[in-house]
Amino acid sequence: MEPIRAAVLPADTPPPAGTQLVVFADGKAYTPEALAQQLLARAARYARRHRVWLVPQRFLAENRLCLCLLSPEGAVCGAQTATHLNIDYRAYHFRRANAVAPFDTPIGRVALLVDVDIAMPHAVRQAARNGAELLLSSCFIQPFDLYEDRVRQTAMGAVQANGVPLVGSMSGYGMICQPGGEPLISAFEDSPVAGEVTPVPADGSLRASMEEAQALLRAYGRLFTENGGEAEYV
Amino acid sequence: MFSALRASVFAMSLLSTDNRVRLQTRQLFPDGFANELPFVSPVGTRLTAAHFTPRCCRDLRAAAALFDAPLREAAAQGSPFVAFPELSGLALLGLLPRCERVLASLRRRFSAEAGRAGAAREAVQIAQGFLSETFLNMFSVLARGHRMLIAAGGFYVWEEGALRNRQYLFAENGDLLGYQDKMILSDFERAMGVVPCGKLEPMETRIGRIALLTASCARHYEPFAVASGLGCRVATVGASPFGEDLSPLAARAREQALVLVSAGLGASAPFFLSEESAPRVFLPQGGVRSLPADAEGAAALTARVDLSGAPLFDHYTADRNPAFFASLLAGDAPDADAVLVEMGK
Repeated sequence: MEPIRAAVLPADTPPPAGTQLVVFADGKAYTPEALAQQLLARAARYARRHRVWLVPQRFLAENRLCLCLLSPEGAVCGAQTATHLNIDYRAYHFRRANAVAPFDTPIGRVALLVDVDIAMPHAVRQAARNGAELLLSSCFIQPFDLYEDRVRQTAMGAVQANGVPLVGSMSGYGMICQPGGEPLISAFEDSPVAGEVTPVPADGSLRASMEEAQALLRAYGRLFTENGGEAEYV
Repeated sequence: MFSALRASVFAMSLLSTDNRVRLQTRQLFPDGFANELPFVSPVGTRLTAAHFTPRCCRDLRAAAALFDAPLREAAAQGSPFVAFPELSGLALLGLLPRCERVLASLRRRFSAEAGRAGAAREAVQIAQGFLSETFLNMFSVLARGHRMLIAAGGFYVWEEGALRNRQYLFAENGDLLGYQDKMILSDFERAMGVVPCGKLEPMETRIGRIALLTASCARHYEPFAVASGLGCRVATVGASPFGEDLSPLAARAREQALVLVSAGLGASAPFFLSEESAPRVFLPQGGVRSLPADAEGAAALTARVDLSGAPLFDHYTADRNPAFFASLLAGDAPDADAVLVEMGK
C-alpha cells in the first residue's frame, strides 16, 4: 500500500496541506443521538471540502456508541459499534457489538476501534487477525485519568502486539504509530499531530504465533465466556 | 552426525552422575543446609530476576557457581523467588570438553533452515540425558540450599515423539514443583520442529500461583489473560536467546494485573549471544523496576512488590463482554456490512 499522510486535529480545524486522512479529537465524551445527524452532516461537508478520509467524533446511534469513516466524497464507508464500554457508560445501558469488523477501502483494510476498544487487547487482536491493515481509533479519557504514559502504552501496546499501524485520538492526544517505527504521540495544544503511515497487515511470522495464542485462548475459553469477571448486563 | 557432541556428552555423562552433581553443588554451602525458610508476607514481597550470562565452565562446581551467583544476591536481599531466562539449562553445554568447538558446530548445523528439524531432534536426543540429570540435580540442591523458590528456565526435551522447550520450577525444599512447555514459539523454533504446548499450568507456591511464560508471549495478550484468569499474580517472562521484543510487557502487566519477572540474558560469545538484555520487573500499576546504571556486573535485580491487594481497577479497561469472547472463540468472521445494516445506514 501507498503511505498516507494522516493528521489528528481538533474537530473542524482545517488539515495541514497534503493530508489524506484526518481523525477528529475533542474533549467531549460523545455526541448524543439527537445531535448525531448534525455531526455527520458537518463531518461530511468537512471531508468533501478538504478531500480527506475522515473519522469524526464518537456518536450515539440506536443506543450504541459508534464511530464511522467518511470518504473524501462525504459518504459513510464503514462504521463500528463499541465492543466494550468505559464504566461510566455502563450505567446508561448502551448496547455493545460482539466483534470488531474490518472493512475494505481504497486506503486499505480498516478497523475502527471505538472509545476504549483501543485499550482492549482482544478487540485489537481480533481486528488484526481479520486482516486489518490500518487501525483508526477515537477514545475519550476523563482529564483526571489522562496522562501521557497511558496514551503511549495503549498505542504502542496495540501496534507492537499486532504489527498494524494506528492513527487515533485519545482525548487531547494524537497517536500516529507505525510498527517498528518511532511513535508520534503528542498533545495537540500547539499544533496538529501529523505524520505518515503505510497500511500493512500483520506479517506471516506474527500470524503464526497469533494462531498459537488463539489456540491457548480457546483451550481456556470458559474463563472468558462463562463469567468473564462478571455477568452480561445488556 | 554430531560426532563431537556425542563424544563430549558421553565423556561428561560419566563425570556428572546425579551423586557427583549433588555433591559438587552442595560444596557451595559449606555450612550445610542451615538456612531457615524465610517468612513471606504478601505485602512487600521481594522477587528477583536473574541477570544470567552463560559461559564455558571447567568443572561442575564452576557451573553450579554460575547459577548460584544470582541466587546469592537474591538471598542477601531477602528474596524468596528467583527467575532465570528460558533455555538457561543450555548453559550446561559449556561444561562439555572443547565446548567452543561443539557449540560452533551446532550453530553451523542450525544456521541453515533446511534440515534444521532433523538436526535439532538428533542433537536433543544426544544431549538430553546429560542436561536433565545435571540441571535438575543442580537446581534441586541450589533451591534447598538457599531455601528459595526458583523458576530455573530449562532446555529442549524430546518426549513422546515431540520436541519441546521446557521450563522448570523448584520448591524451597528442592522438590520439582512442575514444568511448563513453551506455548508460543519463535520462528527459529518452528523451523526446528518444536511443538507448541496448548496448555498453561500455573503452579501453586508460597507466594501464590506462578505461571512460567516466555518472551515470545510478550506480543500476545492471551497467555497473560489465561494466567490472570487462572488466579496467578506473578508470571515469569525471561529474555530469550532469539531476541524477542519485550517492550509490550509493561502493557501486559497493566492489562492483566500481573507482576511480570523478566530475567535478563548477558552477551556471551561462545553461546553466540551478542546482545545484552537487562533484567526487569513489571508491575501492574504500570511501573517498571530495572537495575540502576551503576549496577554493572550485577547478577540479579530484586524488586519489592505488593501481592496483597485486589487487582487494580481501571475505569476504562474493566468492562468484560462475554458475548464478544463467545463470538471470538466460535471463530465467526465478523461482517462489517452487518454492523452497518444493524445501525440502519
